[in-house]
Amino acid sequence: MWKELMTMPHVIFGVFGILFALWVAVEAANSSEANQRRLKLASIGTTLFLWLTYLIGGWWYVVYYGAAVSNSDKSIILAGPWKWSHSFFMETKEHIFFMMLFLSILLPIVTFRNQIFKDTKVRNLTIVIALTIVVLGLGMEGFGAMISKGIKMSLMGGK
Amino acid sequence: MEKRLENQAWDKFSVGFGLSFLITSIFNGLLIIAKESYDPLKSWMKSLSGHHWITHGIFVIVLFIVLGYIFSRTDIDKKIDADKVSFLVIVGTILGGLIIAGFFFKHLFE
Repeated sequence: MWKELMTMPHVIFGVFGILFALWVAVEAANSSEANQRRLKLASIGTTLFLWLTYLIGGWWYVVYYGAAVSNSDKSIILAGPWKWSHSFFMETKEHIFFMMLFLSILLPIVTFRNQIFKDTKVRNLTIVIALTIVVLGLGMEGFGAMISKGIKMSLMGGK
Repeated sequence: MEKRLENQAWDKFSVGFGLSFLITSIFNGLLIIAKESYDPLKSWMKSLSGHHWITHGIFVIVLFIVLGYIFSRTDIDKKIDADKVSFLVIVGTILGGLIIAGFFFKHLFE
């Protein structure tokens, strides 16, 4: 049961990371001296949740998903009709995610080391970084759905 | 540009790590191509941490931080404003994503 339950935090923290990044974009778009604290809080929250997503998801991926046993998710997918749900979607997902980690480091650097409300260009940069995280994050969620579907297709015999 | 030079709000670390994002995103994609195309490299990466993906992550995250720090020690903020960093972020995302998705694209037809 522990193994099954531990698939949830990766997804939940990922969604929180996306929501916090969206929050950063909204605060930046309406930036003033009054909302700098919220902007910084949201950017740190984005970083925290994306790193939790990475660490927990990475642990599950290495220990369970890709384990060299016949009943691991990877083995089940590769034995079924949707092999590409691993060989394209998982392979792409697990490596594109690193770019989200870079952005999660860049985001608080920009929000903490600049006065966003005083500079339109820096404000726009903050929005670009935050929305890029949102777009990539939504992509990750979609890729995750395809990977889960790949397992289901294998277990259902491709029907 | 002259106005930007006088703007104290613009930060070197934001530029340095923005530029590092572009370079590291491209390196991330190229490292995938290299390790998937050359088994000894993948095996070596696996031997370092137990899994090639863990080593891959350590390499690119450390590279991102090191490059970002090095760039931040230069006067790069005088040449690159925030609009250009926005452009670098978008280009880095598109290029990095395309290299990765493009490399694995052939598997969609298996």
